[in-house]
Amino acid sequence: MSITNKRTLNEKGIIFSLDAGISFTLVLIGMLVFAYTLNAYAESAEQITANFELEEKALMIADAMVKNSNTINPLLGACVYDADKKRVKTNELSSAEIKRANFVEFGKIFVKSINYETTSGKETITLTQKNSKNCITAKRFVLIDNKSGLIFIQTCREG
Amino acid sequence: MSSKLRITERGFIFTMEAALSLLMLALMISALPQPNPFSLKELATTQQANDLLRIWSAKNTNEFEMAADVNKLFEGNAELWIGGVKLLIANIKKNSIATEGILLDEWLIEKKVKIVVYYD
Repeated sequence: MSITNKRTLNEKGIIFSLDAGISFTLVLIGMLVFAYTLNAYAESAEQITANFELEEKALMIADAMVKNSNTINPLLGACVYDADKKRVKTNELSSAEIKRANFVEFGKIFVKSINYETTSGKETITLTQKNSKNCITAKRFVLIDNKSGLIFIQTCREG
Repeated sequence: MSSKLRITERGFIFTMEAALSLLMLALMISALPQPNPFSLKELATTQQANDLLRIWSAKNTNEFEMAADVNKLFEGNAELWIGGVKLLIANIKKNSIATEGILLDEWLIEKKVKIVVYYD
Protein backbone atom coordinates (compact mmCIF):
# COMPACT_ATOMS: atom_id res chain seq x y z
CA MET A 1 0.00 0.00 0.00
CA SER A 2 2.77 2.37 0.94
CA ILE A 3 4.57 1.76 -2.43
CA THR A 4 1.40 2.57 -4.38
CA ASN A 5 1.01 5.81 -2.42
CA LYS A 6 4.60 6.85 -3.14
CA ARG A 7 4.12 6.24 -6.87
CA THR A 8 0.97 8.27 -6.90
CA LEU A 9 2.78 11.16 -5.18
CA ASN A 10 5.64 11.01 -7.70
CA GLU A 11 3.22 11.06 -10.58
CA LYS A 12 1.45 14.04 -9.09
CA GLY A 13 4.77 15.80 -8.76
CA ILE A 14 5.57 15.27 -12.45
CA ILE A 15 2.13 16.45 -13.47
CA PHE A 16 2.50 19.55 -11.32
CA SER A 17 5.92 20.41 -12.77
CA LEU A 18 4.63 20.15 -16.31
CA ASP A 19 1.64 22.35 -15.53
CA ALA A 20 3.80 24.83 -13.70
CA GLY A 21 6.21 24.86 -16.64
CA ILE A 22 3.41 25.58 -19.09
CA SER A 23 1.99 28.25 -16.82
CA PHE A 24 5.42 29.79 -16.30
CA THR A 25 6.05 29.85 -20.07
CA LEU A 26 2.67 31.47 -20.63
CA VAL A 27 3.40 34.08 -17.96
CA LEU A 28 6.81 34.77 -19.54
CA ILE A 29 5.19 35.20 -22.96
CA GLY A 30 2.64 37.45 -21.32
CA MET A 31 5.34 39.56 -19.74
CA LEU A 32 7.16 39.81 -23.06
CA VAL A 33 3.99 40.95 -24.82
CA PHE A 34 3.35 43.35 -21.96
CA ALA A 35 6.86 44.84 -22.26
CA TYR A 36 6.46 45.28 -26.02
CA THR A 37 3.04 46.88 -25.58
CA LEU A 38 4.37 49.17 -22.86
CA ASN A 39 7.24 50.25 -25.09
CA ALA A 40 4.90 50.96 -28.00
CA TYR A 41 2.60 52.87 -25.63
CA ALA A 42 5.48 55.01 -24.32
CA GLU A 43 6.68 55.82 -27.85
CA SER A 44 3.16 56.70 -28.95
CA ALA A 45 2.57 58.90 -25.89
CA GLU A 46 5.87 60.70 -26.47
CA GLN A 47 4.96 61.36 -30.11
CA ILE A 48 1.49 62.61 -29.17
CA THR A 49 2.93 64.97 -26.51
CA ALA A 50 5.54 66.34 -28.95
CA ASN A 51 2.88 66.97 -31.62
CA PHE A 52 0.61 68.62 -29.10
CA GLU A 53 3.41 70.91 -27.92
CA LEU A 54 4.17 71.92 -31.52
CA GLU A 55 0.50 72.55 -32.31
CA GLU A 56 0.07 74.56 -29.10
CA LYS A 57 3.09 76.75 -29.86
CA ALA A 58 2.01 77.23 -33.49
CA LEU A 59 -1.45 78.42 -32.44
CA MET A 60 -0.04 80.56 -29.61
CA ILE A 61 2.43 82.38 -31.88
CA ALA A 62 -0.15 82.92 -34.63
CA ASP A 63 -2.65 84.25 -32.09
CA ALA A 64 -0.05 86.57 -30.56
CA MET A 65 0.81 87.93 -34.01
CA VAL A 66 -2.79 88.77 -34.99
CA LYS A 67 -3.90 90.04 -31.58
CA ASN A 68 -0.95 92.08 -30.25
CA SER A 69 1.39 94.87 -31.21
CA ASN A 70 5.05 94.24 -30.48
CA THR A 71 7.45 96.86 -31.77
CA ILE A 72 10.57 94.84 -30.84
CA ASN A 73 9.57 91.67 -32.67
CA PRO A 74 6.42 91.90 -34.82
CA LEU A 75 6.33 88.11 -35.04
CA LEU A 76 4.74 88.27 -31.58
CA GLY A 77 2.44 91.17 -32.50
CA ALA A 78 2.06 92.78 -35.90
CA CYS A 79 -1.22 94.62 -35.31
CA VAL A 80 -1.81 98.26 -36.06
CA TYR A 81 -1.79 100.53 -33.01
CA ASP A 82 -4.44 103.24 -32.97
CA ALA A 83 -2.75 106.12 -31.15
CA ASP A 84 -5.95 108.21 -30.99
CA LYS A 85 -7.98 105.51 -29.31
CA LYS A 86 -4.88 104.18 -27.51
CA ARG A 87 -5.61 100.59 -28.41
CA VAL A 88 -4.40 97.78 -30.60
CA LYS A 89 -6.61 97.00 -33.58
CA THR A 90 -6.76 93.23 -33.44
CA ASN A 91 -6.62 91.29 -36.72
CA GLU A 92 -5.59 94.48 -38.55
CA LEU A 93 -1.96 93.98 -39.58
CA SER A 94 0.54 96.06 -41.45
CA SER A 95 2.72 94.49 -44.17
CA ALA A 96 5.65 96.66 -43.09
CA GLU A 97 5.45 95.21 -39.58
CA ILE A 98 5.13 91.62 -40.85
CA LYS A 99 8.30 92.08 -42.91
CA ARG A 100 10.17 93.20 -39.79
CA ALA A 101 9.47 89.89 -38.01
CA ASN A 102 12.56 88.25 -36.50
CA PHE A 103 13.43 84.62 -35.93
CA VAL A 104 12.18 83.27 -32.59
CA GLU A 105 12.95 79.93 -30.98
CA PHE A 106 11.12 78.22 -28.10
CA GLY A 107 13.38 75.31 -27.17
CA LYS A 108 13.40 73.12 -30.27
CA ILE A 109 10.36 74.83 -31.77
CA PHE A 110 10.75 77.81 -34.10
CA VAL A 111 8.88 79.82 -36.71
CA LYS A 112 10.22 79.03 -40.17
CA SER A 113 8.21 81.27 -42.45
CA ILE A 114 5.26 83.61 -42.81
CA ASN A 115 3.12 83.75 -45.95
CA TYR A 116 0.22 86.01 -46.65
CA GLU A 117 -2.15 86.56 -49.51
CA THR A 118 -4.51 89.45 -50.08
CA THR A 119 -6.11 90.97 -53.14
CA SER A 120 -2.77 92.75 -53.72
CA GLY A 121 -0.90 89.47 -54.12
CA LYS A 122 1.14 86.93 -52.21
CA GLU A 123 4.22 87.46 -50.06
CA THR A 124 6.58 85.00 -48.38
CA ILE A 125 8.93 85.90 -45.55
CA THR A 126 11.43 83.17 -44.69
CA LEU A 127 12.81 83.61 -41.18
CA THR A 128 15.30 80.76 -41.15
CA GLN A 129 16.74 77.98 -43.34
CA LYS A 130 17.16 75.63 -40.37
CA ASN A 131 16.42 71.95 -40.89
CA SER A 132 13.03 70.96 -39.56
CA LYS A 133 11.27 67.68 -38.77
CA ASN A 134 7.57 68.40 -38.28
CA CYS A 135 5.84 71.58 -39.32
CA ILE A 136 2.39 72.96 -38.53
CA THR A 137 0.90 75.91 -40.37
CA ALA A 138 -1.56 78.12 -38.54
CA LYS A 139 -3.96 79.92 -40.85
CA ARG A 140 -5.66 83.15 -39.78
CA PHE A 141 -8.00 85.59 -41.49
CA VAL A 142 -6.78 89.17 -41.21
CA LEU A 143 -6.78 92.63 -42.71
CA ILE A 144 -3.36 93.49 -44.12
CA ASP A 145 -3.04 97.16 -45.08
CA ASN A 146 -6.85 97.31 -45.00
CA LYS A 147 -7.23 94.42 -47.43
CA SER A 148 -8.69 91.15 -46.22
CA GLY A 149 -6.64 88.02 -46.70
CA LEU A 150 -5.06 84.98 -45.14
CA ILE A 151 -1.84 84.73 -43.20
CA PHE A 152 -0.02 81.42 -42.77
CA ILE A 153 2.53 81.03 -39.98
CA GLN A 154 4.67 77.90 -40.33
CA THR A 155 6.02 76.59 -37.03
CA CYS A 156 8.48 73.68 -37.02
CA ARG A 157 10.41 71.38 -34.73
CA GLU A 158 14.17 71.24 -35.12
CA GLY A 159 15.30 68.07 -36.81
CA MET B 1 -11.98 2.97 -11.50
CA SER B 2 -9.18 4.55 -9.50
CA SER B 3 -7.01 5.24 -12.66
CA LYS B 4 -10.03 6.84 -14.31
CA LEU B 5 -10.37 9.19 -11.35
CA ARG B 6 -6.70 10.12 -11.56
CA ILE B 7 -7.05 11.06 -15.25
CA THR B 8 -9.99 13.31 -14.43
CA GLU B 9 -7.97 14.98 -11.63
CA ARG B 10 -5.00 15.65 -13.94
CA GLY B 11 -7.22 17.21 -16.53
CA PHE B 12 -8.85 19.46 -14.02
CA ILE B 13 -5.54 20.69 -12.54
CA PHE B 14 -4.13 21.53 -15.99
CA THR B 15 -7.23 23.41 -17.09
CA MET B 16 -7.29 25.55 -13.95
CA GLU B 17 -3.65 26.62 -14.15
CA ALA B 18 -3.63 27.15 -17.87
CA ALA B 19 -6.84 29.15 -17.65
CA LEU B 20 -5.39 31.28 -14.84
CA SER B 21 -2.23 31.95 -16.87
CA LEU B 22 -4.24 32.93 -19.91
CA LEU B 23 -6.44 35.12 -17.77
CA MET B 24 -3.36 36.83 -16.36
CA LEU B 25 -2.01 37.37 -19.86
CA ALA B 26 -5.30 38.86 -21.05
CA LEU B 27 -5.49 41.09 -17.95
CA MET B 28 -1.95 42.42 -18.44
CA ILE B 29 -2.62 43.35 -22.04
CA SER B 30 -6.06 44.80 -21.53
CA ALA B 31 -5.02 46.81 -18.44
CA LEU B 32 -2.91 49.14 -20.58
CA PRO B 33 -4.66 52.41 -21.29
CA GLN B 34 -4.52 53.48 -24.92
CA PRO B 35 -3.00 56.93 -25.51
CA ASN B 36 -5.57 59.29 -27.00
CA PRO B 37 -4.24 61.68 -29.62
CA PHE B 38 -5.44 65.10 -28.50
CA SER B 39 -5.69 68.04 -30.84
CA LEU B 40 -6.33 71.76 -30.66
CA LYS B 41 -8.44 71.65 -33.82
CA GLU B 42 -11.49 73.04 -32.00
CA LEU B 43 -9.52 75.99 -30.66
CA ALA B 44 -7.99 76.74 -34.07
CA THR B 45 -11.40 76.59 -35.75
CA THR B 46 -13.00 78.87 -33.15
CA GLN B 47 -10.14 81.36 -33.52
CA GLN B 48 -10.60 81.40 -37.31
CA ALA B 49 -14.37 81.89 -37.06
CA ASN B 50 -13.80 84.73 -34.60
CA ASP B 51 -11.32 86.30 -37.03
CA LEU B 52 -14.11 86.49 -39.62
CA LEU B 53 -16.53 88.14 -37.19
CA ARG B 54 -13.82 90.58 -36.09
CA ILE B 55 -12.95 91.59 -39.68
CA TRP B 56 -16.61 91.87 -40.73
CA SER B 57 -17.28 94.16 -37.79
CA ALA B 58 -14.20 96.29 -38.56
CA LYS B 59 -15.14 96.99 -42.16
CA ASN B 60 -18.59 96.99 -43.65
CA THR B 61 -18.92 93.73 -45.49
CA ASN B 62 -21.87 92.64 -47.61
CA GLU B 63 -23.29 89.14 -47.63
CA PHE B 64 -21.52 88.10 -50.84
CA GLU B 65 -18.15 89.13 -49.43
CA MET B 66 -18.94 87.26 -46.20
CA ALA B 67 -19.74 84.08 -48.13
CA ALA B 68 -16.54 84.46 -50.17
CA ASP B 69 -14.49 84.97 -46.99
CA VAL B 70 -15.99 81.87 -45.35
CA ASN B 71 -15.28 79.77 -48.42
CA LYS B 72 -11.74 81.10 -48.67
CA LEU B 73 -10.94 80.30 -45.04
CA PHE B 74 -12.78 77.02 -44.55
CA GLU B 75 -12.61 75.71 -48.13
CA GLY B 76 -16.26 74.67 -48.42
CA ASN B 77 -16.49 73.09 -44.98
CA ALA B 78 -18.56 75.81 -43.33
CA GLU B 79 -22.14 77.01 -43.39
CA LEU B 80 -23.01 80.68 -43.12
CA TRP B 81 -26.27 81.84 -41.62
CA ILE B 82 -27.28 85.50 -41.63
CA GLY B 83 -30.48 86.49 -39.83
CA GLY B 84 -31.60 82.86 -39.74
CA VAL B 85 -31.13 82.39 -43.49
CA LYS B 86 -28.59 79.85 -44.68
CA LEU B 87 -26.36 81.45 -47.31
CA LEU B 88 -23.74 78.75 -47.69
CA ILE B 89 -24.04 74.97 -47.73
CA ALA B 90 -21.11 72.91 -46.43
CA ASN B 91 -19.76 69.39 -46.84
CA ILE B 92 -21.12 67.77 -43.67
CA LYS B 93 -18.52 65.88 -41.63
CA LYS B 94 -18.34 64.07 -38.28
CA ASN B 95 -17.83 67.09 -35.98
CA SER B 96 -19.01 70.67 -36.05
CA ILE B 97 -18.44 73.94 -34.21
CA ALA B 98 -20.76 76.92 -34.37
CA THR B 99 -19.73 80.51 -33.71
CA GLU B 100 -22.30 83.23 -33.47
CA GLY B 101 -22.09 87.01 -33.34
CA ILE B 102 -24.11 90.15 -33.86
CA LEU B 103 -22.86 92.69 -36.39
CA LEU B 104 -24.13 96.25 -36.69
CA ASP B 105 -24.26 97.78 -40.13
CA GLU B 106 -23.76 101.47 -40.96
CA TRP B 107 -27.42 102.21 -40.08
CA LEU B 108 -26.97 100.38 -36.77
CA ILE B 109 -29.25 97.57 -37.87
CA GLU B 110 -28.15 94.35 -36.23
CA LYS B 111 -27.36 91.25 -38.20
CA LYS B 112 -27.16 87.89 -36.48
CA VAL B 113 -24.36 85.89 -38.08
CA LYS B 114 -23.63 82.21 -37.45
CA ILE B 115 -20.76 80.19 -38.86
CA VAL B 116 -20.94 76.40 -38.57
CA VAL B 117 -17.67 74.65 -39.37
CA TYR B 118 -17.56 70.92 -40.08
CA TYR B 119 -14.41 68.84 -39.59
CA ASP B 120 -13.26 65.23 -39.05
